[in-house]
Amino acid sequence: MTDFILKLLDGFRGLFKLMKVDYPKFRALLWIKLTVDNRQEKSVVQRKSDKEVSNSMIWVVLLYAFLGLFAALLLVQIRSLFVGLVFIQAMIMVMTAVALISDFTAVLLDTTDNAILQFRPIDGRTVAVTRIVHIVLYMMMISLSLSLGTLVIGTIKYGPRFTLPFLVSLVLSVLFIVFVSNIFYLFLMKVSGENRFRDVILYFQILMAAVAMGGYQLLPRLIGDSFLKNVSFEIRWWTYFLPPAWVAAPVDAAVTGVMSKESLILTLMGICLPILCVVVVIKYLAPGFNKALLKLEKTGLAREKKTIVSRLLVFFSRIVASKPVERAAFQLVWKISSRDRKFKLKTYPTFGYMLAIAAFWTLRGKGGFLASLKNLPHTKSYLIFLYFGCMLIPMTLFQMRLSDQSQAAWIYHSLPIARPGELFRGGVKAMIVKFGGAVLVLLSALTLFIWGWPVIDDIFLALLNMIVISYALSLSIKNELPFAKPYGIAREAQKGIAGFLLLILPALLGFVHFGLTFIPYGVLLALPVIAFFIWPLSKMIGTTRWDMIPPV
Amino acid sequence: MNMNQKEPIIILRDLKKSYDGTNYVLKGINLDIVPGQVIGYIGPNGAGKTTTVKIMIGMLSQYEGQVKVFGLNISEKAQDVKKRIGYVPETAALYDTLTPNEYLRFLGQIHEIPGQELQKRAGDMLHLFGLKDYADARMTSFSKGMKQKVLIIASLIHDPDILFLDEPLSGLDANMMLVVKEILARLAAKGKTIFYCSHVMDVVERLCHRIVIIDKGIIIADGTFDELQAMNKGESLEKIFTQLTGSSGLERVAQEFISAFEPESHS
Repeated sequence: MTDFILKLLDGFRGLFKLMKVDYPKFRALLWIKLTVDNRQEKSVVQRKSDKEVSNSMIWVVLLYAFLGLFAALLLVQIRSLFVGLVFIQAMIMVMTAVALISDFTAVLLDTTDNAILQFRPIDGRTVAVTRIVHIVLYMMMISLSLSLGTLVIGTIKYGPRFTLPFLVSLVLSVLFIVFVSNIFYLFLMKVSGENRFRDVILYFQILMAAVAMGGYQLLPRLIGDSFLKNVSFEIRWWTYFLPPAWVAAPVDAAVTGVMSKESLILTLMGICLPILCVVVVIKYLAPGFNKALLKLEKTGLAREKKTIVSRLLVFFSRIVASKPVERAAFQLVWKISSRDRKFKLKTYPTFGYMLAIAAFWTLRGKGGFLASLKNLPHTKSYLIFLYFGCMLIPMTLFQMRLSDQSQAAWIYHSLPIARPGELFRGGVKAMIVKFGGAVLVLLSALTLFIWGWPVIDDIFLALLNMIVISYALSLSIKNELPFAKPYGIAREAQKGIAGFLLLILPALLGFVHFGLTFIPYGVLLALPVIAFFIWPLSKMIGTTRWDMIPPV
Repeated sequence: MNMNQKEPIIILRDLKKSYDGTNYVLKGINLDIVPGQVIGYIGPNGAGKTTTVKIMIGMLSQYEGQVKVFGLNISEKAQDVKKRIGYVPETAALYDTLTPNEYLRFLGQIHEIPGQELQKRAGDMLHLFGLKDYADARMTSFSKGMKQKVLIIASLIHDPDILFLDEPLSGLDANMMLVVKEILARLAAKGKTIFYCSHVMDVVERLCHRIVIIDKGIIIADGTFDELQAMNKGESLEKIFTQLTGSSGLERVAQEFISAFEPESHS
């Protein structure tokens, strides 16, 4: 696979050279990155041969293809090809952008390869371009998998005239997403200054994730229901600001054989803007990118003071963790998760877009936002709020396993810890209290403000369910220790599968909860039942023995 | 003092280890170590030094043969052994977003050292190693030597009976090396056992009561420096090591290496 990708890129050698990228060095560096991605999944013990494991990505492709199939059905449901494509492309672009923002930003801002490259004769532009192309390849894989269904249905319905323009536009749209985000990051780096960039980027990521998801939810409202049923769609001024329309226009023109003035402008925007972004990034911004990143790494002495939070941490750990090992792990995981930049880069954006989805789902009723808002106290939408909150904690649990300093995990193995499961359980509890606590306090306050005290039992049930969900999902990763696994781009993509799977459990419990609200005292009666599951689940998480954990 | 009269604190019998089932890293190690000894465990890269240590401290559980520490079978009683040993690994890897105080507190909690006692010990040791002013600073900005100091303190915080050190002086400046050497000598005088892996021959030569040389998974020499010197007619441990590990002809290898970079006409 790696060879195929590199051979494909060889076709664009001239283009890279034109951009003053040192192609042989670029190719060598990319080969290293892709080879490492393929091999990182195998531990030292397993590695009996050097045969690469590229199969790990097949599941990711299949999952995204499956999700894309739902979008592809819009081609059949919506009569206007243009509108259908705008919707499909919006979904593909949003999912790609969210993956980029939440999972791949850390890869883009990663400086670990500088330790090897800093003193080698390779220029900053080539390093930065390799990094970007590396990410583009994964983004391409995600968006191509998502559009597989559309490609098949479109080709069957409209013939080969659909296929090529769709593919070309798709590639360009991915380039647009990646390069625009690059421009944003560089811009932020310039305006915020290096010291504050780290904080600013976190807020930016949360905002971007929320905007991407929010925009996706807003799109049907902008276009309106009547347009979905009509064959023709009138292009308005704001249509030009919708990147999905840039993809839809040329495909629509190719299939119908009619190229209107509006379609032409949209098509030209779809071609020119991504290329412009690529040129701006490679030619003007990339050379300084790596240098700026290096400066970010050089930090001053950060001293920790005894704050209320650190006292609270000790207090919480004494309440929720009974054993010394568990308590120690609770405090360790809490602290590292507060300070590890990569951990924050990967979890906080998820909070942004999940809360945005929750808000839009709550207000998605007919008659507009204001009417929905007015009607809110008479609905049971608080369940959407609360259960979206439940989804967030398992995501932090998956992240808790990974660290750039996974080598430091030798310490667990050298300490007198009889049951390493207790270390893991301490970490799980830290994530639940820290993030679950924060999210639930926020959402509960909002829920109580809108719906009042009668829903207090619902809040308690959601809290218990959140613990059950977190524990249940922890069981699938209980043979891992906190911050003991290295990060890797392939692993980021794979996290997607677990991420989607973990949406099912909260949704399921949310529906059961919804059903219980129709039964008198149903929620109250469910409280002890759910609480009953917590203790055995907690026990099960702590049962991991040393022989279940790979040696260091 | 005749150490051989004491009961061994560490016993290795026919210790073998293979990571892949075919190639053996350790091919039958036999070793008896009595309390209060400072053992220098030396060997070329890949000889099996770190693997031996990882087995003795219970970090690697799959092996063949018998390993007893404090009279306890390590494969069955690893936790009891870990309570009484300290370890400094070869790579200075630690979670550096933490501060030294926080890192030591974590270890203290696991070792169940009372809070105040832990605080006092940590404070004293950080002071001794010149890190008092950095006790509450995140280790992200620490140099390799500073991190190494934290790891040495971490290995001593629970007052272990045996100390396993894998290249403990790497990254330390000359002054700090002297401090560490002095600490190790005093610990040995107090009856602590020190198992010291290193490439730095002169330190091993001066510090260790007994020197064990391992090569390709087997012990090829074992004795005091004087004994090794008498048997091998070498002036220094470095020379003895070179003779025993078959690293002779190094001058020729170096010459060939340099020649490879010279233009054709010169060769």
